[in-house]
Amino acid sequence: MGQTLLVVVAILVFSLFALNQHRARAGAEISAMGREIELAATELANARLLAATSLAFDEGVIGLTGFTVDPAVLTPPGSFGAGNDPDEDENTPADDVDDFHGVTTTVTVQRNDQTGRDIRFTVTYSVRYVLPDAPATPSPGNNPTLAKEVTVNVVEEVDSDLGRTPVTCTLSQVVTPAWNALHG
Amino acid sequence: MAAILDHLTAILVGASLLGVLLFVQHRSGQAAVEATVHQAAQTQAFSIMESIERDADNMRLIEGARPQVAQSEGRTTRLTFHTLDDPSDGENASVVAVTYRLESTYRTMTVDGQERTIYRIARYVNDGVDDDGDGSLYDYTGGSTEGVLSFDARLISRDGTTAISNGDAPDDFSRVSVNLAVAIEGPARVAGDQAATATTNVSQQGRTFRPLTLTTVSDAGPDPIPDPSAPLPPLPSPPPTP
Repeated sequence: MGQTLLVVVAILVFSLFALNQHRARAGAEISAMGREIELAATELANARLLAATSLAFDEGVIGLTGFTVDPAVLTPPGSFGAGNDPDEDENTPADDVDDFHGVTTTVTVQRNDQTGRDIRFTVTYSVRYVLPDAPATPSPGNNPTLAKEVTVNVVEEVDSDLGRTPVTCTLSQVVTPAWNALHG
Repeated sequence: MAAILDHLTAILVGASLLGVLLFVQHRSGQAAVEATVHQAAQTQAFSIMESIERDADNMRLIEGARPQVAQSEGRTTRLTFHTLDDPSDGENASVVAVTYRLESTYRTMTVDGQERTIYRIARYVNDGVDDDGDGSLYDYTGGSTEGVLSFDARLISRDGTTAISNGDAPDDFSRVSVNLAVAIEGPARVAGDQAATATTNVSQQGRTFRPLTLTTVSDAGPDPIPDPSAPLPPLPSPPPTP
């Protein structure tokens, strides 16, 4: 009886040990996967931010020679978003940075390791006016200024509980008519 | 003998537990190796990517010589553009032609249970002088380790509607997108559950670079601009068959 009890206790202790080992190993794998997904999310956010900020600063400056210094010609915040500019509809390709405001898309990043384990992300954009001399501060009343902050938020889509929080990446960039003319 | 028979159950259970314990410990050690290997793969990918980033950030557009990319079998085989030799020289920095070439290593590596051909990315610089005397104006200046699985470079237009993967940069060229996957030899598979973890020996990275200035430079200056189409040194030869 004593011997059987000892055996049961030994098996129990060993099972706990084995489970802990597996948990630690799974944690390391999940961490490695998470790092790869973080890299993919960062690149996606960066690529989308560069694409958005490569366009014109505002619909009102398209076709201008040089760049504007008059906020009165700029798009009011209420008209931000796809297809809200004059002579545009929701199928018109974006041609200035605020056309991305409020846009949400789903992007699949393909993995080249032939495992078929592609990664899906939800990408959302937001654009707002900020103070040119204090770019971290939103423009009071979101009135048009000569600086816009473009923010791209990327969130991993997960189908099940992976034991970790979905990867998120948010990148912002402030653009001005001058910056856009030089680097856009 | 009687003592052995008396404790037969305990001996069998103890021996079994000991065997499984050794296996668990072995896998534990191997998991640590896999984590290190993944870290190494990421570091290798970062390393070559930083080199490309430095060159792409300082890209120069020369009249009549746009950035070029060549592709074969779905892989970028060559990425060529003009850049600054040493950006820290400021306005006196000379312009060179740089080429990143995907070269076969004539080796394979096991990634997720599949044998994959591995390559390396070599960086060549043409500063107009054959520094190493090999007959080519392009001189070898380093590159990645042997473990590149894929290399994909694209030259993207400003509005994003054109992404050239084989040919000259588009008219309104704005950005360079580079994707690569780098693998490092991982530990041999000894357990069934390793199938799920074998991809930890590969790291895939992508970056998009917008050159800091894309002002087109005239080739009419006092110093001739190196020819980006100059021949590269010959590709490495396959190892002799035994």
